[in-house]
Amino acid sequence: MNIVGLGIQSPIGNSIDSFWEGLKRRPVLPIECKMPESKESWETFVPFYQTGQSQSQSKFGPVDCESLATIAIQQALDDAKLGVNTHRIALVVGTGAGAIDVHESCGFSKQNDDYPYDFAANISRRLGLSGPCITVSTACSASAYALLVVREFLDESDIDAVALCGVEAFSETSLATFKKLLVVAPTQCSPFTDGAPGTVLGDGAAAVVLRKSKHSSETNRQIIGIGATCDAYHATAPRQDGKYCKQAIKIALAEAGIGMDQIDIILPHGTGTKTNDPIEYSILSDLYNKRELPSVAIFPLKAYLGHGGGSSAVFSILALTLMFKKRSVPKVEGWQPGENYKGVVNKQRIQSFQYGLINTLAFGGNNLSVVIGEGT
Amino acid sequence: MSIAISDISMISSKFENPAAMSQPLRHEVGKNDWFDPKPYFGKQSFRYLSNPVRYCVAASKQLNPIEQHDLQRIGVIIGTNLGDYCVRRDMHNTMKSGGTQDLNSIYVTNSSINLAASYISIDKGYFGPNMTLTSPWTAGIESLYMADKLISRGILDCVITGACEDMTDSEGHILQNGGAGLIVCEEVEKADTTVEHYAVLNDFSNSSTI
Repeated sequence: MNIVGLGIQSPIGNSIDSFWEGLKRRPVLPIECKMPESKESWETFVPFYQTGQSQSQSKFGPVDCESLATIAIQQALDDAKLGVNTHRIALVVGTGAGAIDVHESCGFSKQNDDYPYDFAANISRRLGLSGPCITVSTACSASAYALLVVREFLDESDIDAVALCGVEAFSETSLATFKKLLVVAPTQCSPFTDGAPGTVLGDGAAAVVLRKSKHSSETNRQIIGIGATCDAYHATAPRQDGKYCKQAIKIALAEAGIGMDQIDIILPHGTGTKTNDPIEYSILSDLYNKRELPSVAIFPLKAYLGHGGGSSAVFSILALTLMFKKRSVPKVEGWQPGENYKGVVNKQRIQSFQYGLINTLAFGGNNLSVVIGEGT
Repeated sequence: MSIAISDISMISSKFENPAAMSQPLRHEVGKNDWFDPKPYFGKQSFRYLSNPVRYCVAASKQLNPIEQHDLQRIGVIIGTNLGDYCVRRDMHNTMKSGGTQDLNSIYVTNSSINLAASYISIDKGYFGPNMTLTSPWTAGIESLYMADKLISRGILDCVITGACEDMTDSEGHILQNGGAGLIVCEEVEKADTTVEHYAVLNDFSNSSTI
């Protein structure tokens, strides 16, 4: 699956160029927003990485998360310069909570005329795409699991290209869920640091356009391995031994036909929570058959965007594609991986830009890993 | 490769299970009390599960045991559009009236719409891909499409597909019929030969109306 187009609406940039520039300057603090803690103290603040609302040139009107997704997909389609009939373009959207922002803002009053997960069909209509469309919602790995659908669509004889979008809205109920689980940090998301107090949520949309491998592509990057498993263990916590997350990575590597030692850079799930980071660290170390990670380039994208829930996998695919294209890894300002995470390194100089690994975990134990490689 | 529908199950306000479909319709009930989870879960363990999760897991407990497949090659794909709607609406109302401290920290995890599918895997110990599709109206049939594809690709031998919904107002009155229906898809060659198949999946086609 060739990556032929990119589009983004993120807390650090609303175009590919501004996103890349944003990766060079890590935001010191996320934008704070209001959280209804109790009716008496409605003004409690919690941090949140929010996508800018400066969409004045947008032809899609007010910016809700469906519009963010629509703009990102349009950017990716423009970038791909497909020149194919719109009925041969399919759309797959991965989202954790769908259009929950609309329902929360109207107090859940619209019950029957506005469905919460109608992104794929609505966006197809707005962009005039009449190929098949599906919305996938496996929590924080949603837009990664969406790749399983993308792969099937690309194998259909009547499809030329698939737009894949990961999108997540600001949601007070999602935020409340994370708060109740005691995993929200008071200030900043700093994955793989000692005593990291938790994660910070974020919103936004990222889109990529994918075509079959036989087509040449400008980015010259392909998705060459996908591995999906389920922990079948717990509603919110990953398995302590990480067995099936490891299995997902192994399946992706086997499909790509490479070994773990050939991976040049890893974009981990890395949420900055005590439930995720130590387990993910030991999973990665195990895959190198080591107790500690051998010095590996790890890029903690959530340190910039916060935890974008179901959108995070496409953000990672997009960031990795850009790093490979520019042959450069941005320096993460103010990020010092902890003593407990030896070998996690923010390397700017890596030996080659051939293979990258993206790892996602989710509530329900829905694990999915992706290997990205050079086009053939 | 042929893909068989080898088992079905159902929990709904109209029929308790597939066999009941040959019997007269149950009376319409105004309150959402048509489903008794205790026969499926015992006295306690359903307490912090949302209705869509209860329906799905209960329906999965109606299925015949799947014994002939490697547990890593059994997947679950569920379609739902409103699987988290009532949970999030009730959370929103609680937060408005009392604040986040009034939320139950176990129940809030039901706001993740993929938990219905996940709990089937947790309950049965299936380690294959576990997926939730959410397009309105079509997510259930899309789950069959994906099951067909993942089995044909050789990733899985067996997939529990299906759909679940729950739509009640905040007082517990039914606005739309809820429930869950499950369909077990297996590769014909690897399916249990002692059980007669309900049907064989033939072909799919999909597009968008714009």
